[in-house]
Amino acid sequence: MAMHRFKVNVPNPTDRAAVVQLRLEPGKLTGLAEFPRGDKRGPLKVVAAGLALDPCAESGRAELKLRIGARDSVDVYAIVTTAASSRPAATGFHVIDRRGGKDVGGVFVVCAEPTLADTVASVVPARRPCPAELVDLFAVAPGAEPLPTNAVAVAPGDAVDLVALVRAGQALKDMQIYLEHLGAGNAEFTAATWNLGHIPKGTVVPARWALQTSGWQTGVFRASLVAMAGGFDPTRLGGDYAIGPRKRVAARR
Amino acid sequence: MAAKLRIQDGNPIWLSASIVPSKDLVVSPNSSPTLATVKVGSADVFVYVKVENTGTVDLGGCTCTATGAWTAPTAFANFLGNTTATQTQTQAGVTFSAAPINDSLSGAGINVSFGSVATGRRAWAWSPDGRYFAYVASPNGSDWSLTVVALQPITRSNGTTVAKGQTAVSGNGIFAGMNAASWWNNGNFSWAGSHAVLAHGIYAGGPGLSLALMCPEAPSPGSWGDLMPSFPGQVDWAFLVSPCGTMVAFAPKRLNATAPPQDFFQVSTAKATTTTFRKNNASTSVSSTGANVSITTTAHAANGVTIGTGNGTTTTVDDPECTVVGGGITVRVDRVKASTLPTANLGVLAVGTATLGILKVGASAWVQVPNQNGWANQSETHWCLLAQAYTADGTTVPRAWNGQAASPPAFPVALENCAQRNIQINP
Repeated sequence: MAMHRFKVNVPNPTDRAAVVQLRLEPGKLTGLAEFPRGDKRGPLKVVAAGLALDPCAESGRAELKLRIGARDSVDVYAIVTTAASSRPAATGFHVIDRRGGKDVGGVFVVCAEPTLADTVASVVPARRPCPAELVDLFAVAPGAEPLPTNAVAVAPGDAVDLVALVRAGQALKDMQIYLEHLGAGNAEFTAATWNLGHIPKGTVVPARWALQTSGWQTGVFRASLVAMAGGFDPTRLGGDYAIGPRKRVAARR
Repeated sequence: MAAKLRIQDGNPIWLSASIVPSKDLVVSPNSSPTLATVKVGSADVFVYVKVENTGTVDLGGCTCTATGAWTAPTAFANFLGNTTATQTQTQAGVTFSAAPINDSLSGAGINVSFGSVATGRRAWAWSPDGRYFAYVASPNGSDWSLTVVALQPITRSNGTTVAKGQTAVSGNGIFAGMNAASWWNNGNFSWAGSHAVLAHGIYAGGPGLSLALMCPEAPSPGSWGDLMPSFPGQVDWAFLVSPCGTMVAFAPKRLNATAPPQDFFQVSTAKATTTTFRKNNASTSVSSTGANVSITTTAHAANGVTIGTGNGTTTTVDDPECTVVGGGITVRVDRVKASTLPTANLGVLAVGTATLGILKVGASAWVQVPNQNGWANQSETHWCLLAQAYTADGTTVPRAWNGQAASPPAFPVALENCAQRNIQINP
């Protein structure tokens, strides 16, 4: 047998004391259907399940009634004992918070044997990807022409324009592009969408966004841009940019 | 017309299927990701958030839909040239009264006194959209002093506001003229669309054309002015207003072959500054070649504006109104330790933010939100992701919650543009 113990915080964000009724309910199988891809599991047999206030308790009750002071919170413990399983299996429970006769919130806890495996990343293709290619991503001084010859290195604290050069793989109508995010970097950018119009095949067009880096973070980060054109699915283009060393922030898709 | 964004709640509410931590590289925002296991050391887990436009207006796109030829400004229709004349005009409940002692503007919430005019010379006009009243008067004859009054609350391009009945912008100058017959009149002042008043006349201090543009929606001081060289009989100027009035172009008409070439230029009414013409996002200049100048917007995109340079030759430039459209939709994800209510009492950790450029009515998109702060779990495996979507302008669909504020309130999960999902962050 295995004991699964989950700490759940039950807050009272109001200015008056609250009476809270907690209950533990099995999660529906549909709720478990969204496990990571490839992680096929059968149901995990539950021996006992309950709620307790004692962090060391080995069992609990199906329901728990609490009185929580104004602007206070209480930790409760969901304790689920499951039978040994020879196959990968899982089960789940909802800790449901009921106040004033209504279910107002809750938490979903999952018991898995063995522990959920690390997921393998995969590429989810687009049905009709926009045939645009990010050929270069570099920074220029604010307002400078968006030319590779104007590229500058980016240091922490700099304000620059991030320029994306995008090539149309075929003639594109009503092309648009926007910067979705700057990856794990904490620089901030001014959101904007570029309406690039009709682009002949092979033409390289620039788009730019004002970017303000933080005063301390350095590294190489992966930005995500989204290209759109009539007749195609919006498509993400990824490109690296660097903050730190005083050299050109060249990047490739 | 309602602007609405939705992140679909789950059933139960703490398991929104529109918030998915995933390692997948989803090529298109139209495609959905699959759930990933999140570990403390995971560096490649995005949070994908599905955002829907459930309102009745497209979000993030160009708000200017009009295309066509750029048009000439509309000269002020009203003028008085002596101190004894009186006149009263009313439009949409606002009354302008010209009288020997005092000119005034009055209406609900509007009470403006322009004072008496020593020369009696004044001109006025309502803006074509009725949101402003412009009044110009002359203390001495050749000089002028212009005031634009807001007839409803106005938000400037930098977010500052002008209250109803207050002066939105003002300007003054001196045009050439030795006597009443040659001093300025209403023909020297015109509404350039509904976002600017153009003043133009012969410069008082020597040869040249004096130009001024007063823009009530530009940041203070809100006016632009310049002195252009004068080439009588050789170069004349056409003033052309873009279809949505955000640009005023000054187009030199080359009247004969020996006239010196002059460049077109344009002034943004949102900034009251000159704006470079661009072609494929690179600066470019456009010179006049003849007298038959024109500008036409064919598309709100790069190369979407055709300029007739005067002799039948045309060139294209980027549409200054909408080649780039700022804003869009911001998607922000935070996380809190598992709690039966999405409160912030145990602290809030930011996950990251991302932008969705455009979302049309009825459309949806999966936005890829990067993790900018790691997945440290503080010895607690159960967490709750809190996602919200709002427009970047902060007003069309306001930001619902600021988890990074001091003592933030509970996450407003009941709002349509907010949702939550419990996740596990394993050691």
